[in-house]
Amino acid sequence: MQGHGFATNVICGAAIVLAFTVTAPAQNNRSFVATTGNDANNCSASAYCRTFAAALAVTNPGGEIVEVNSGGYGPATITQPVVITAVGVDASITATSGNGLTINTAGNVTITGLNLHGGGTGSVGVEVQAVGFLRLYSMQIENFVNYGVDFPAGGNLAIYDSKINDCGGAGLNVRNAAAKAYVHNTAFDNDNIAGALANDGGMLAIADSSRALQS
Amino acid sequence: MALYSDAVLFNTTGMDADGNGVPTFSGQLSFADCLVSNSTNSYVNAGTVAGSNPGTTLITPGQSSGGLLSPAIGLQ
Repeated sequence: MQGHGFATNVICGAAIVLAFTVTAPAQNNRSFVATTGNDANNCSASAYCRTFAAALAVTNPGGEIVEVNSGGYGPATITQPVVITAVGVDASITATSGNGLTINTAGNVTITGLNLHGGGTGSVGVEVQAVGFLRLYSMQIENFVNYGVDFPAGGNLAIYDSKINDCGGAGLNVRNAAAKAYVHNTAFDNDNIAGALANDGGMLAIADSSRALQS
Repeated sequence: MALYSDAVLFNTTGMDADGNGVPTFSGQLSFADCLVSNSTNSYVNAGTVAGSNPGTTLITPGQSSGGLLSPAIGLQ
């Protein structure tokens, strides 16, 4: 019996180790956020999180965050390569102070379908401190005090099928000699200084777009 | 900056290449097949602002400008 008891203890010990392994924080290849979510969840398809910030914390570099339903998901700082997808829903970030999104990663970031609102007091819609290649598809960025998209970093930027308006600085400011930016099918209007600026040697090409009613 | 098939409407300045005061960068702007209309200044050129030749850009009359357009860029 003693032998049996020893064996049982070994098995229990193994089970405890296994339990600790299983309950370690999950890192998802794909995370989900919804207005019905909770940031205490693991952001899986069956246990949504509430905010981008929580989802980013449990998403693998190069993974994806999916917006499940329409609503606001809060400002966030992105420090890893990631794909954020909001297709078929009205997913927004309202930033009445600070930036809507701050990006600081050497990797690539792709964002589709997000609406960023500054409420006339938020600083910048998308502040790019560092990035490999930032792709913004079907975005609406509006009403920030400074810029819709500020790109003081080197790296590449592509904006497709978007609207950037009512920003106090410029809709887009590319201001690094190592930056290459391309804009396609995008409308800039009523941004205070200019629709799109290429400063400090930054390279910017715009096609099939419009810039109207800038002061 | 390069513009292609771009509509530039109702701005204070439609196209601007002023270099932003950066010594190592004189503003350069090239454009083709654009519409530039109803702005106070169609363009301000303190560096290079050049259209394509041939090209179909229309800069409508009635707008002021700062400087002159740079020589058009012929197709290579």
